[in-house]
Amino acid sequence: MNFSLLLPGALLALSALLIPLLIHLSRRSEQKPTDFAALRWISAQLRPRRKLVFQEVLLLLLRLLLLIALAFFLANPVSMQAVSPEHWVVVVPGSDVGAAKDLPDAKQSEWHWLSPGFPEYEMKVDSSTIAFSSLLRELDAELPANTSLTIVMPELLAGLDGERIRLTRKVDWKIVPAIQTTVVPAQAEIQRRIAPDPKSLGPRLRGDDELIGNDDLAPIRLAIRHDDKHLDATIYFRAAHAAWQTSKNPDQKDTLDSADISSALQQNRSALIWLASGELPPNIRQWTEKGGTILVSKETLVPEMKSSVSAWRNEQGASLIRVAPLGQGRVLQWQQDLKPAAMPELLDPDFPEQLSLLLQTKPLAPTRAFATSQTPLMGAKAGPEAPQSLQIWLALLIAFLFLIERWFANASRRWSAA
Amino acid sequence: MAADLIPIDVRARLKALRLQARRISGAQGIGQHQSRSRGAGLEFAQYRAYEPGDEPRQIDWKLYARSDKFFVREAERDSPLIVWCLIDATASMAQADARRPEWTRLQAAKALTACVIELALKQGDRFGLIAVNDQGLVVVNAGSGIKHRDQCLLELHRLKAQGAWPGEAQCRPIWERIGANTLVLLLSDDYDEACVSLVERLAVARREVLSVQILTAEERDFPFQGGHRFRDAETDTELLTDAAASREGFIGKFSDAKKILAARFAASGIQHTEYVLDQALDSPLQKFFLPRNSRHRESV
Repeated sequence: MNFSLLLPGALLALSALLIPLLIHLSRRSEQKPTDFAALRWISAQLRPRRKLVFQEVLLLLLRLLLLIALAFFLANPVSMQAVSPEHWVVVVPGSDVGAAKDLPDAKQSEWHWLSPGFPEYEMKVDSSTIAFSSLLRELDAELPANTSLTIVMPELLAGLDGERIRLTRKVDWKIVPAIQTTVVPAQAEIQRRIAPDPKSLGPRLRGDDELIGNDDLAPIRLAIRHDDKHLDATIYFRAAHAAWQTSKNPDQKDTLDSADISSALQQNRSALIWLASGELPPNIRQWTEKGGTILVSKETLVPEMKSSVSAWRNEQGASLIRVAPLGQGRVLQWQQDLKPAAMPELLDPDFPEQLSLLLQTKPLAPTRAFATSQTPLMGAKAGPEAPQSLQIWLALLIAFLFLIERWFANASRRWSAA
Repeated sequence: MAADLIPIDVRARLKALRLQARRISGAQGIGQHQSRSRGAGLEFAQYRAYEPGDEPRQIDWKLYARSDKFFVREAERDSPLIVWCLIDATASMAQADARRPEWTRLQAAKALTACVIELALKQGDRFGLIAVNDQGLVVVNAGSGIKHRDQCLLELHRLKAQGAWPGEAQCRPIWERIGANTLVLLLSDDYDEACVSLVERLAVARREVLSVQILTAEERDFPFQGGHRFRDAETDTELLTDAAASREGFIGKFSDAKKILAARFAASGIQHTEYVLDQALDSPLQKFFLPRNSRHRESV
């Protein structure tokens, strides 16, 4: 164990030690005369010797100690404590742990969940999707270097991210059968697959002009099919489409394919806005199931919308568009009439961008993989170990010293009064 | 009136004490004190007009029948013993220990006086007090009874330590008041030569003198450290000295002086004792007044 101070400059506070020294320096009692009637028997006048004399030495020492402790408290002492080697077993929620109980040192190990905060194994955790890679990296960075690690996980890992896991230590990759219940609830999975992540949507909603036509997204090649009743509503989508065409490059520009519902779709369309009542015709359904994105009006009948989730809400919280998967594609459906009176958002300046985000088809990174293929690589750079702050112990010591000091100070007053 | 001068525990221990004189004078009537003279009964002294508060049984009803006025028959007291408390009230008596600044020598003297008065009252003896300093003597004539006690206590509460010991002329009332064959209790620090010689002469002139020398604990222990400026309140002289260095010399000289004083008092037949302020208040009284042989007293 070795100590160091984070703020050694605070030791200047030690100069405050002079204060109790000065307080306790015995005053020259010659100044105030003492009444003494038996004066005549005091012999020859001896000059008083000048000598540094401290009164109440015990109290003085206590006060000096208190000040020293305070100065060190301000200097923020830390200890680089060498932790004894430990073994952690970390269980991924959803694993069948029974198969892992026969680990060689299961009894001496600390069992934890791989879940935010790494709760102990006895506690219940929410077994919904975890960010597996991220949590594993966090755990690796937090544990002391000499702690060995065993990960117990099901065969199929979820919550991976784009990067291969790279850790500072060698971990024991223990693969067990998964518990039979579905690990990933269906609703959350739908949300993840078909709706844009609201967090990534956040900054875009603020209408930053640079973010419109973001280059990492493929430009939307839009088609509109409408019946006569919905002819008026097309102008909002035309306007939005026109707003998307900000690129200087003529190749990137898209010409809108807007026509009656009877005309066929062009080959390269990525999104379709279908404004008609009744069911979708089979050819449009087929096109969507192959991976197209279709936004249909309120009157259109799509049976798959029963399992839809809300994709866009207005400020009052009312759902404007709901979304559901259809084959490999998605169906989005307006929940309101396409009239500014019913839905003022149509006239909002950021309507084109909202629409663009909803219609984008961004390829999602795969987040699930077989555990055997994900054995972590070695060689991540280990961060410096966090020192342990000793301030809390010093604070306790200071409080204790203060109490003793008060007690002594009052006691000496009591004695002198008696 | 302020708080009681006598602490409760001391008051409890007073019950065991009994005022007694060594040299008994039996010339003053009958009382509780052993005496060789007998037969003298209630001696009529005077009639005086009735005052509210007098007991009805003291009224002379025959005289009332004659004169149609209330008269109270006063008689000389029967008690043979008169106790005088002679209190030194000079400035040096205001000295106290630093640990207990309110417990001065004078305060101790007042408390001892109150104890003696209480004892005298209990025995039916007469008591008086004289406080001495050069601002004028405070004299309460010898008397008895609760009213007289209260008057004494009132004077005690008023008493302040100031000035020096008075000259011979000012001390004349002491000789006038304190008659022969009385008990005199001197409460003083005995630092004034005039005071010591006065009680010596009193003792020689057939007054039985008891002397309590009241000392502070600082005078006994001399606990001072470092340089100190000492002041004598009576003479107003100051002395700057190194206390630790003069400690040995002081204690030696002071105890010599006390020995000489004790020898002088013993030569004059004065019972003498010391009372240091941190001791129990009744310790000098225990020394003087604890009956040594109560069986003997009863058998006579």
